[in-house]
Amino acid sequence: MRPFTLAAVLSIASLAVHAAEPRGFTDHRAMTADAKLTVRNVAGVIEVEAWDKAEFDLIATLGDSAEKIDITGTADDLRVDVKSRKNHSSYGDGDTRLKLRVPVGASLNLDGTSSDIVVRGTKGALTARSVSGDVDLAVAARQITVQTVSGDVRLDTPAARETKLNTVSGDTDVKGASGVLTAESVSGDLQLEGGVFSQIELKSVSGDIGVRAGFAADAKVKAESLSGDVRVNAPGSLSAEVTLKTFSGDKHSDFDAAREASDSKRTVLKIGEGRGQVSLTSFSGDVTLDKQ
Amino acid sequence: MNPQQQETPVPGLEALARERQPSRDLWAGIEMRIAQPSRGRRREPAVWPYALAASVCLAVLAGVLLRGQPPAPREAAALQTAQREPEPAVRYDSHPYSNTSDESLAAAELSPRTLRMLRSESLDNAPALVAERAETSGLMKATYSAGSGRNARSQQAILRANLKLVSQAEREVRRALKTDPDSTSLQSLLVVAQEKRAVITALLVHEQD
Repeated sequence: MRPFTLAAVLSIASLAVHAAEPRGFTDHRAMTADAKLTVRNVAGVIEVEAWDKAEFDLIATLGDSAEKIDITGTADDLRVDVKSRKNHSSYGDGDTRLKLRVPVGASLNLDGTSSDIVVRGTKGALTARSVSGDVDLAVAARQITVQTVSGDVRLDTPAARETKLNTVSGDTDVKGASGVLTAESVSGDLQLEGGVFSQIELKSVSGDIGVRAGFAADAKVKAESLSGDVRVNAPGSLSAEVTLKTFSGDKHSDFDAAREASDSKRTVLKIGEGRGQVSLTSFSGDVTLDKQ
Repeated sequence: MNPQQQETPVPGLEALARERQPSRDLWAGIEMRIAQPSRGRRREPAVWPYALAASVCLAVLAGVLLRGQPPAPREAAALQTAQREPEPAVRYDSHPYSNTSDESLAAAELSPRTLRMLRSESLDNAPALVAERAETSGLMKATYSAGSGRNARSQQAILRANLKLVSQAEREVRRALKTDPDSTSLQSLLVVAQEKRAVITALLVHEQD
């Protein structure tokens, strides 16, 4: 009986070890310089790096939950899809790691349910979605769209001219963007440090909003939060009509400007020529306009 | 009177021999057992097979749980600067495994508690908004429910917490609007809260589909 029990235990253990062994997968093929690439990976990491070749390269390690990787489409429009196993238990390593290299100009559509998304160096339009995974982009793309539920968003995007960010509880940290930016959050903080913006629209429910950037002469800046603090750090050369509104918080401005209207809830300032429009609102948080 | 004195004597009892030798010699067997004390005794059960099996199980369990956590984005970013990993010994084509193409993504069910909570929230115009969001939001199209059970439950908890937060904020703004119904700022904030509630509700409901 004892030897039999021991043998059974060792057999089960060896099966478990065998099942947990990672499986490799690679693919290499031609890809046009401005191709569109769609990647879908439920759990793990999607890591994309730009290179100066008209080629696509993939090195993957499949997790237990992955059944296979499907690569379909053409050199102009390629799709990488990690197919999940049926009836996979949630134990073991279900993560699949994808390391992709694509032409610099490729546009990317990355979809990770709980996958982290990391992109470096691409210039094509980029859309990244993840539920619980973090999104980390350091790219030269002009158009960027990111959506997460609980994943944090970190952007270093000096060439971005049109940025859309949406998260529920993830924190958002943007550096280098400019042009037009919209960002929304429920409980995550929104922090923006960038170049010169012509339009900014930020909304949060309880997350704090922080902006340190320059504004075009006729810029429209709107930041709203229900219970978070709103703080904008603007250059001394700011030219805008600024409205600070809070219903139960404090409001403050560093700028010496003519007050066009002011009461306990609302202050309107004309700074410089007043060409732009800056509206900072919080229901119960503080509203602050700092001078750089 | 003593009762023993009343018993009648058994006939012939007194005639029997008081001492009698055994019919065969028993000492040889007794002596042999004394000379070999361990023989025939029950041995203590061996512990080492169980210890070995338990050790193997623990090692396997620890290995399965600890191996291969996904690197954080920063780690992953650092990885790309490192030298390219050696390619796997086997290079597969695009369809290396069996041809079961349909992906089974276990959809976590929306718990009755969540549904009760959703109904209890002030979802004035939620159905229309949810339908709208479900069509327009790219995140809806993402395989939100495709994560593992633990992950799906964790996300549900996060969404529920945020839904409560949004609903509370919305109630506060509505209360303020009663005292200042013409405030465009309050109306704008109410829209923000309603939009966020609709998105979260859509995410929760989507999970059930």
